[in-house]
Amino acid sequence: MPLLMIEPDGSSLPAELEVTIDGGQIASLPVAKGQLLAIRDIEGRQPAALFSVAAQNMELVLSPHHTRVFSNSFMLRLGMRLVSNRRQPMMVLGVSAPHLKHDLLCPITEASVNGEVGGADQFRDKVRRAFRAAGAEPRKIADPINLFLGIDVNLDGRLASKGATSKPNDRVVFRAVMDMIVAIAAPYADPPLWDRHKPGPLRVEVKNELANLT
Amino acid sequence: MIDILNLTIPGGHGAAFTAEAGNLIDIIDLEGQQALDFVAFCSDDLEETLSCVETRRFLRSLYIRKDDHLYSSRGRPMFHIVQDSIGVHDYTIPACDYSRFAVDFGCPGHRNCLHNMFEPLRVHGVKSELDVPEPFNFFQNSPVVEDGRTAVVDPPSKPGDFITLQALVNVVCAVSSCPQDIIPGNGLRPSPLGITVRSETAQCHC
Repeated sequence: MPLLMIEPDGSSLPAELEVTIDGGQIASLPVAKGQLLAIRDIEGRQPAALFSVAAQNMELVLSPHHTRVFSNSFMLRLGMRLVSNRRQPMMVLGVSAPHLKHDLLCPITEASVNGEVGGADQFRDKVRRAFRAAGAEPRKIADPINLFLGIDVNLDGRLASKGATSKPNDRVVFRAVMDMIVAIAAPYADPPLWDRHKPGPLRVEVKNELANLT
Repeated sequence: MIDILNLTIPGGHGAAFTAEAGNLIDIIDLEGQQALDFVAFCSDDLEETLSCVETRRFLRSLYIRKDDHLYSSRGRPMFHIVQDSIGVHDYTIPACDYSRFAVDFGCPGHRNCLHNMFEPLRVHGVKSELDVPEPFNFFQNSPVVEDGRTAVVDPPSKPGDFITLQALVNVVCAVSSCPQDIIPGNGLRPSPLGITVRSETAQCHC
C-alpha cells in the first residue's frame, strides 16, 4: 500500500522482491518510497551491512554519520530516520526487537579473510560491484550501517563490542521514504569486533504490505 | 625544528596545505572556544584518506589522546598525536555543509566546513566535495551522555590551546574554522586558527 497521502497520486508500488544472501555475499535491489524493507538473520549472530543510494541522484548516499547527528545518537534505534549525506530521510527503522543493537560507528573490513590492513577498501569494492550489478553507480561508497552489531558506548568514550546481537530469524523492517537502491551484505567477521567461524545467510524482502512479510 | 609553513585562518574560513612524512603540524586555537574540522589525504594516492571509522576500529574509543595514532581508510597509521594541550576532540560529527544550514536553520548560502575545505583542496587534485572524507573535529566538545546519546556544547579550549600531529606519510590536509554561529559549538563566535608545519630537515620557505 502506498503511503497515506492527503492527495494520493494514484500510482501503485512496484512488484515485491525476495532474495537470500549467502554468507560472505552482497545483494543489491531497488526499494520504492512507501515499500517495506525487511532483513532477517536466518541463523543468528550474523551482522548485516546496509548501504543505499537515491535512485534519482547517485550523489545521495545513506550516511551513518549524518544519521547519528540527525538524532543525537551513537547507535541506530527504533523509530530513527536513516538519512543521506545531504540530510534527507531515506528510510525509517520501524521494527526492531528490544534486544537488537545496530552500530553506526564502525567499518566493515572482513579482517578474518582480508587481514588487519586494507580490508575496508576491499569491502567497498565489493559493495561498488554489487550496486553496479543493479545498474547503480553511486558517486561515493559510504560507510555502512551495521545491523545487529552491538557496540556499546561508555560514558568515558570507550567502545565495547557485544558482537552480533541477533538470534535465529530476528529481523528488522524499514519503511522507505525515498526511491533508492540498497546493497546488503552478510560480511565475514572482524574479530574482535565480532567473530563467527563462517558468515551466515540473510533473507531480504521488499514488500508492499506488512502482512506480506514472511 | 624549522617552520616551513605558518598560516592564520580567519574565523569561519578554511585552508589546505601539504606536509611530508616526519613533519610536525601544530593546530592552534588562537582565541579559544573554536572547533575546527580537519581532513587529510595521502599525497601519493588521494583515494587513501584519514578515516574516522578505521581509527575508531583501532582505538576502540570515541576520544583521541596524546600518543594515539590516527588511521587511514586502508588501516595504515597516518598521524601520531605527539602533543595535546587540552584533550577534548571529536571524530563523530560530519562536517557542516550547505544542507546543514539550509535544512536545519533556514539559512541557505551560509559558510560551512565542507565548502571551506573543498575549495582549497581543489588545487591539490580533489575533484568533488564527495571525495572529502569525514572530519576529525579538533577542540569540538561532543560528550557522550546517558544511554549512548551525544550532544555538542561549546569547547573548553583557551587561547593558545593546540594539538600537534606528526605526519607518518606525505599528506594533503585541509582545515576549517567551523563557521557555526547559530547554535553552541564555537561560543557563537567563529574565530581564527593558527597552523604551523615544522621540519627537522627542510629549508625554510616562509
